[in-house]
Amino acid sequence: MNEQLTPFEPDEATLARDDALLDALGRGGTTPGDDPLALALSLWREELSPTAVPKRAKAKRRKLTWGLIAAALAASLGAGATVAAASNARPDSPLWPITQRIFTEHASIASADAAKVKMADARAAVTEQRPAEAQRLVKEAETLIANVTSLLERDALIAELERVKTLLATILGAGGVPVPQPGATPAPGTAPQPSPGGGSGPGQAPTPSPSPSGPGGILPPLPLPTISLPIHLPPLPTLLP
Amino acid sequence: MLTEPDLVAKAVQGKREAVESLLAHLRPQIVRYCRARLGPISGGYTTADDVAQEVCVAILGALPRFRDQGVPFSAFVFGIAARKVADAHRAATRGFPLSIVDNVPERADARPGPEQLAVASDLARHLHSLLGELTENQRDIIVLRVAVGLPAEEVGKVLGMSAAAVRVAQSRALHRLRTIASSLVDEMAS
Repeated sequence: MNEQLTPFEPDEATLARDDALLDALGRGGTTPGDDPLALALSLWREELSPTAVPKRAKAKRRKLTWGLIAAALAASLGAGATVAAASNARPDSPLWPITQRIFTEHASIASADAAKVKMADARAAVTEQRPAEAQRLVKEAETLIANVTSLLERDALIAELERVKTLLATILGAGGVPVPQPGATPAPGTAPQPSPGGGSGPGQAPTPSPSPSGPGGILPPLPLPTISLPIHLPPLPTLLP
Repeated sequence: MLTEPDLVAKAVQGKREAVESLLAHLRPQIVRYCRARLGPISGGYTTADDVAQEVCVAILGALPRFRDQGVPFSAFVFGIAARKVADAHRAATRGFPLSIVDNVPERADARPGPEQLAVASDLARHLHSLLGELTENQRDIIVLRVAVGLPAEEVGKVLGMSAAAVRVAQSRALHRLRTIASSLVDEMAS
């Protein structure tokens, strides 16, 4: 570590100032001045306290404070750290979690929306017998979903992703016969499920009629949370400018 | 009012009230120590708090054997705490081999905790990852100085250093943290 190669030699004033700062932080007191590191440490100290009751108001205040820390960091370090610049911060950077925390909500919403579009495209690709493309889209959606921070929303997205994956598995595994019904998985060795009411054979074209309550094959139902959120359906790409 | 050494002396003799007051006095420090050292796991401090509980139990068990033979009480307490935290670290890495991920796992544990709790644990994690950039000794010092709130002299006793050496090391730790911050911003600006 370069720390050992060129150790920082604090002067007396620095030693005294840092010691006083750490004494104040250790007492759980607020720290004077606008040193962003001191502010971050005092928040951390507060956070560690067993008596800290997570109240909504408190959480909101903390969110604001982290915004202030980011602003103070940017200001004190003399960089025009904008949202755009922060979004370029690399994940291996030590301060990545801070920038991520601050801009995470924006990123989360954008990722969720993009994931929905990818999954809709993947469904279409499955229906249209383009497994390679569907696979790529599923993979991309998976990456995007990992960036979604709202747990409820992410669960719903993962549920949809699993359904798309199941669909994809049917065209990959069953000799290219698509079964576009969510939840309906053909049992191995049997013909793909015929359309309800239709008497035709397995070579029939896929029936787009939705039968969401259709019984599955021998596979058990997916262990997915049954959250009925109205966000499964992807938004159609807008044609408006 | 009893001083801490008085309280410790009475507690060592097994005086129930003294033991209770001593633990009431120590517990918040131990909880903060364990939370600071272990960080939030699976989105919360349940693991750290469990370890803190174990530390308290271990201190209770070892208390009758504590004799003030020049070993300060804080060194006794945080020596036990450091061992328990190290045990927990080992157990955790056995159970969950460290994988290379480019950000901290966000998946919460099975219980859907309230949003505020997620926010709260999120915040603590930032500092935890920053502390990972320090040397072990520097990290111990920052945890004992800030999270536990021990003065530099006491930290020196716990870690077997002089108070002057603690002060130099803590300034270096703060300097390092500030350097990381500025290098990040440089990186972002380029």
